[in-house]
Order: sequence, then structure tokens, then C-alpha cells
Amino acid sequence: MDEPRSAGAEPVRRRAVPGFLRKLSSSGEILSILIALIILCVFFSLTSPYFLTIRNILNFTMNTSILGIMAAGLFIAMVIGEIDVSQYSIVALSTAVMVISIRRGMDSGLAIVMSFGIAILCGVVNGSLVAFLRINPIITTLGAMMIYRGIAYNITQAKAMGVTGGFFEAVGSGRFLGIPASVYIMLGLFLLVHVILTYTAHGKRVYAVGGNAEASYISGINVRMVRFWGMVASSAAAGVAGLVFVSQVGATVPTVGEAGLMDVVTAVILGGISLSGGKGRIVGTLIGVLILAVLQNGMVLINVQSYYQLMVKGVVILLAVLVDSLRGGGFK
Amino acid sequence: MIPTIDQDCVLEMRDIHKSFGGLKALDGVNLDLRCGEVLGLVGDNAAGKSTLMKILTGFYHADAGSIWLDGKEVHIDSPKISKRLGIEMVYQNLELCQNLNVAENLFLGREIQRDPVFRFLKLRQMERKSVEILRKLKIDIQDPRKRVDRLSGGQQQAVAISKAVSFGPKMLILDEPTANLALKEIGKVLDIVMQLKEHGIPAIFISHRLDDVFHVCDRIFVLRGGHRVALKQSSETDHDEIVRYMFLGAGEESSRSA
Repeated sequence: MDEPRSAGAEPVRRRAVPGFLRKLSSSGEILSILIALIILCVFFSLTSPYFLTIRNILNFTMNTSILGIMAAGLFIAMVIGEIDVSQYSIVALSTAVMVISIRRGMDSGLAIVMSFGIAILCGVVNGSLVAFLRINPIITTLGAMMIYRGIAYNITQAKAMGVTGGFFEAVGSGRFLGIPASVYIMLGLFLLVHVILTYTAHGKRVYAVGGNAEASYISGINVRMVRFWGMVASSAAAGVAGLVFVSQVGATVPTVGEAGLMDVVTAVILGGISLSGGKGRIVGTLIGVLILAVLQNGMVLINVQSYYQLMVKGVVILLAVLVDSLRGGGFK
Repeated sequence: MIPTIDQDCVLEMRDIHKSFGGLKALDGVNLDLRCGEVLGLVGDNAAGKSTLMKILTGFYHADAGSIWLDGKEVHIDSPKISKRLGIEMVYQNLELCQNLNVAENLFLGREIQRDPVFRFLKLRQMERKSVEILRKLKIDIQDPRKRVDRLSGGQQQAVAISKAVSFGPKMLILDEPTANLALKEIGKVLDIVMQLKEHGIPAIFISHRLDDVFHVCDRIFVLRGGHRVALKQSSETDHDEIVRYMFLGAGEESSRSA
């Protein structure tokens, strides 16, 4: 018998490319957004003398850490193919309840746990609607957003309410090696998401469901539960972001994030995720967060009027989505 | 006549009936799959092929009839039960995640884990085992870390079949495994099907491509309008006869067992 034909022998396409170059080209997306970030940094450092000062950099990374923390959670939901626009409302609601409870005499440790619990509960609501009732995630979280925000307005009478405490001071103004605590929290969360998505079965299933839900189902994966937990992860990140926010500002603010409703989504999309799910790397999201932060900070520094800032952000969202669509992504 | 239980049979479907509303999709179909054989299942569209297979894989329930696996009657109420009984199906529109690599696809849903809570993966072990699984069927994919969307259609089909085989199934159902493939890739997939035979894994091979059916199948089962119109040894029939059965039927008498 002659030698058995081996199935699907690879078409002759092997190139003599060094390993590191091949790796670089396979992460071409990451490279291109990194270049975009560098170009922005160069542009703003040329147009504003303050941009490249350590103080400014620390300032905007600290400000953006809240956005980054939420983006880390949203990333998981978006890899699954879902989306969540209710995160800022969850920040408003969970911190409002926490601050009010503390002001009424609740132990602050308990109140902090409760605040996080409320965020998780919001995620359970979002996740149940999206995963089990299969309601469109944009509509679901848009509705949820209004409800959570409405409750927050109600219980705070639409007023910011201050709070103090050791925990909040440590998180809000604590520094290690000159870098604010909130930045560590953000980076820690990114690292955690990276480890979960890369090295655990949970992570593989997140990508699997985002890539091909039907195939995942046939392979015995509980697709609904993966979707559910993805939405919970997004809300949980909002819970952490809320604690950091209250620590930085020293108060709960019921209007938090109303001006930047889509900022987190924008950052994640900028980071090269596909709206149809299954694709994207967390390091891209980190760069996406930084791009948005640099853009916002830079525009303020060179005195771009706020109306124009809004327009620029809008253009950036559309560009990011357009690029995704051209790559064959697009919303399912 | 009710056929007797054949010891050499892995699977027997007896007198299967299924209607959708007023439409009779299957009308008393008998099918048996013998140890180590590849059985070709052919028929025109709406002949009942996919209904019959969906009953076997638990997506549909038969209105009447029984299913016997290894001589024991089984009740397949859900896809999960079908899988548990050792019936694996390779779907036409591949059940692979294009965004995952070969090893991740092969172990999707049953990853090798270090712990039950965090579920950290034993990636190395998964990759090593993937190579073993592929090698068993003589599939030439060197790098289990290659993403599936970078493989050719034939290679993807090969991975899909390997995945099914790696569950250690009693039998396989291959749904149009050579559809949508370039000609030179078809031969490679058929080679894998021949490998299944060598490993003693019986399979039902559904295809519109009769050349492929004759290439790999021991017997050919023809469905038409929900009836079995023929069951032939492939060595004792030819292309034209099967086509006649598929499109013209052949009266009740032609359904004598091969």
C-alpha cells in the first residue's frame, strides 16, 4: 500500500519569517492602536508643554482608572458578543446606597460590601434579561441604565453626598512609588481578566461562545450561563469602579458619567474588539482606554471647546466601529 | 416483518415514524449500522435523512418506533443523552469555533483542568493530546496552536471529525463532510473516513456526492419520501441504480435487505 495521504496537508505557504516578526504581525491590531496612541501623545506633547509632565500623566491616568476598571469588565461581556451601557448607572446606584447607609450609621466595611453586592445584583438582573430571556443587550442595559439611575436620583434627591473614611482615603489618595492606588487597582483588574481569559476554561468558553455560540452549545457548554456571568462581570467591574470613584471624589454623585455614557464602550471598541464577539485582546482594551484618556486630556490642554470635544469623541466611536466593520465584524 | 436483533449491529432503528402536522416525514423506516462499517445515507432533499438523524441525535422524538444500541433499547430524549450513549455527529456547518486554535477546539467543553474552581488549563497536556488525536487519524496538522480560521476547509473538517472521534464514540454521523470543499481536499477527508473504518468506528455517511459515497461506504441506504427504497451493498450496485432509487423510487419490493 502506498503511503496514506495525510489529511489537509498545509498549502505551501510557509515563509521564512523570524518568530518575533510573525508574532508581531499576528498582533497587528494591537500594534496599530499602539501606534495611534503614540501619535496622539506626540501630537499633544508638541502642542502643549504640560502634556508630557509627570504630574499631568499621573493626573489623567488616575482620572481614567475608573473608566479602565469598567472597561476590563465590559471587555468580557463584549467578547461574548454582548454589550453593557448601564455601568455608570450602577456606579451611581451602588455608591448612593453605600454613602447613605454610612451616613445613617452603618459600618463602612459592611456598606462597602453591600455596595459591591448591589452592583452584582444589577449584573444578575442584566444577565438574566440578556442570557435567559434573550433581550437585545443594548436595549436591556439602556433600560436598566435608566432604572438604576432613576433610583439613584431618588434616594439622593439628585444631590452629591460626601463621605469620609480610612478605606476611601487609602484608595483615593494613597500612593505607592508615586503612582496612585487606583491605577494599581485598574492594572490589577486587567491582569486578572487577562489571566482568566488566557489560562482558564472559563476564559476559553467566553471566547468560544463569542465566536460560535451554536458550536459551544453542541460541545456541551452552558451558553446561557456564560452570557449571564459575562454581564455580571461587567457590573462587578462597575462595582469596583464605584468604590474607586467615591474614594477619589469623596462623595457619591448621582450624575456620574452621564456626559460620557458611551466612553467605556468606546474605549473597548478602540481596543480592537469585534462587536460580533469572539475577538479582541485585553491589552488592546488597556491601550483603548489610554487613547481615550489622552484624547480627552489633550483636548482640554490645548483648549478645544467642549462642544468640539464631544464631536471628536463621536467621530472616534464611529471610526472605531467602521474599522471593526471593515474587518468583517459588525454587530450580530 | 420485524427484523431480529443482529449481534453484529451497533445500531438498529426500527419502524421509525415521524410526522410534522399532516406531513409524514418518516414512515416506518428501519436502519441498521453494523460494526466497523460505513453506511451511506442518501436521498433527495426532504427524503427524511436529516429527520432520521435528528431522531438519533435527540433533537426530535419519533412518533413511533424503537432505537437499539448494542442490542439494548435506548430512549434518546435529548442531544445530551445521545452524546452520552456514544453517538457523535459531525455537522455540515462545522461545529468549530473559528477564533480558537485546534487544541482549544478539540477540548472545547471538556478542557483538561488543574482545579475545579478556577479551572486553570493544562495547556501543554491539551496540546500534546491534540497531536496524538490528530496523528491517530493520520491528519497532518503539526501545530495544535494554529487557529482554526487559518486552516483550509479540509483541515477544518479533519479537526471536526477528530473532535468527534476523541470522545471515544460508539458511532459517528458525518453530515455532508465533503460538501463545500475543493476537489483535492475531498480525497483527504475521505481518507480520514477510511481511517475510521480501520479503527473500527462505524459511521453513517450522509452525502449528495455519490462518488464519495461509493468510495467509502460498504452499504448504501436510500431514503425517498420518508420510506426506505433501497439498501444495497455498494459493491453490488452502481451510481445509476442509486440515482434511480433516489429520484424515482422503486416500489416496496426493492427494500429487501442487502
